[in-house]
Amino acid sequence: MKVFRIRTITQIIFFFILLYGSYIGLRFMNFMPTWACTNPVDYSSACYLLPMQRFQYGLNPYLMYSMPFPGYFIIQGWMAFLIFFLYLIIFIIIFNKLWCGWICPFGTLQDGISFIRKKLKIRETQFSEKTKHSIRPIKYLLIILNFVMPFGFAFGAVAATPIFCRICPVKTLLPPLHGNILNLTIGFPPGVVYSIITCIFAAFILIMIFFRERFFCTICPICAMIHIFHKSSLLQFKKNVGACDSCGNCWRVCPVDIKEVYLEKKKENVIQENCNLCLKCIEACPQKGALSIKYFNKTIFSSSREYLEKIIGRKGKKKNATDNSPRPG
Amino acid sequence: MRFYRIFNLSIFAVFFVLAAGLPLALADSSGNDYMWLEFDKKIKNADGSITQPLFIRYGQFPDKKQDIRALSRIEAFYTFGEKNKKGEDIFYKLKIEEKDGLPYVLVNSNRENWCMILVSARRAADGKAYEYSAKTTFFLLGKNKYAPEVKGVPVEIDKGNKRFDIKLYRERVKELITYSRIRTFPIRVMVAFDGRPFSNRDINIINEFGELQQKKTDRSGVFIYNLPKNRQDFKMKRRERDFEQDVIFSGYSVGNVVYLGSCAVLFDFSFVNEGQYAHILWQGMAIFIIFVALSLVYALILRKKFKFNL
Repeated sequence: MKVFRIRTITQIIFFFILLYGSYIGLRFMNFMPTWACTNPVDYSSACYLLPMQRFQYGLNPYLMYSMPFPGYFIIQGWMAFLIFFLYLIIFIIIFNKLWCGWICPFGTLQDGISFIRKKLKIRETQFSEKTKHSIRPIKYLLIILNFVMPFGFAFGAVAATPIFCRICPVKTLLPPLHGNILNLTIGFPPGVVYSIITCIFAAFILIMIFFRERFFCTICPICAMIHIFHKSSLLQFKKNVGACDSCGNCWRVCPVDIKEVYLEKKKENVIQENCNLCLKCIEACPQKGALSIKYFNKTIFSSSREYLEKIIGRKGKKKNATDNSPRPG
Repeated sequence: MRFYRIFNLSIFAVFFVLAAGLPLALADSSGNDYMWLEFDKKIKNADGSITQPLFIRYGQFPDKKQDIRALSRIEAFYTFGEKNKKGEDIFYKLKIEEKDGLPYVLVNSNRENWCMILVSARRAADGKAYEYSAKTTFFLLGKNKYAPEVKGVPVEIDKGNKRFDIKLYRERVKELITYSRIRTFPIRVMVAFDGRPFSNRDINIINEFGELQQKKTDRSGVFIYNLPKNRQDFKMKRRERDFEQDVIFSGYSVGNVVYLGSCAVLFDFSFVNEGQYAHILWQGMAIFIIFVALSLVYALILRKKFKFNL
């Protein structure tokens, strides 16, 4: 079976497990770093960014008087943060960015929207290098909202609900698949201003996803966090620079328009910030062993001309991936 | 040989009898009577206000309901969560009326309010004094914005009435408890006695069907209660009722005085179905759709003509 087919099947299975698994008794709650909101309570998993933003519960006035010793709940809040952070590290060690490309339900939703666009024969929007660079800091800004702002909450700077969740576009776009559209209401939990911002942000993200494949992944804070720690993972994406003949296929087929893999002439580890390890580049590479995915330093999938010819044979000459024309746009 | 067979079978028989009787054995073994509040169906008034009737029940769980007239000094209070300068809730007195031979109270709200009801009563028997307290919290979503809120004169509540305090964690947060359809989301319950955590004690919870669960509080007096999912799904599908109420109760003796507290938990499944949010949902959807259209136009304008860089 071809890798892209295995990936599609895996994505669909995980999409249904993570969103609707609770109907068959599967409940992962907050222990999966997925984009799955807690508001539809039938979700089998919930976004783990929520508990990570809850340092401030250490100073919850309802709990203050029942503290066994001063600072008990602050320690408890920190422990919760560390535990969820540990989950993230474990997931990075096991899956690296395979998580984003193969499991994340919001990623699957984005792929589904792109699939519709392709079926409608609407071409993808290309971003200039300048636009790409200007988008880049957004994900780090969102990390700040996720992790740095809660420190402010903890010291009483701002009270109430986690700041990132107030504007999270996923909470508006994913729960409707579960029949829950409450996050579109004005003034629902986060307040009037934040709910208007959420609606606008979600509308913008939806359109961008339609025109640009995996657009949200380019601003996703989880994707950025995984990238920060990706070197500690057992799963690595490698390039054998000597075997590469710079055909540019990897860049051409990349859904998030990464050209660094194609341009890299020195480094072996070529995993990039926006990469979600969909492995399309390895599939499209005609050079034997030029690109590979390794687990425990053992190659589990690598590029080869035979594999590529199989795909080309199946897809027909029209979509010949070995065409040397550079990426359009 | 036959003896051993009969002996083994009898052991199994005893085991099955004990296992079958387990729920009964688990039922409140103290034999105490409790007082608790029971929700009746909400009344939507023509002026947009909403009224919640609640019966005051008294007796032994699950079904030995007794005549409440055995209790003395029954008093009922409510608060909409307003605080005084000391940060304490401001309570107002509620009139206790009678319906179908049972005492009940009515709370009316013109606006969207969080409400807490507290009922206290006393009884003396066998040389002991019994202090009863029943509490519940819920949302009253009245829509008569322009009518003045009639509240009466604030009253001071005797501290003894509030000694047993069962708090639903995050009870004043709109989401997750009553503002959306709750199925299996656990609620945190914090039990305190005399302002201190009721640590490492057994707490009983009885649901509408008379099934009893026992929970143990942790060091902070907190325990987690989860409404069984299958039961709720069953109720939702049958659409018999749009809410379910369970009662949390516990007791504690100080000398000759026995304090018996209860808290009725309302799981309101009907919030979305009732369309309470329909008006602001439309606003949100309108904003969303408008900005989808604007983003679409923006994206189409910005999209450059397709060309190959050759």
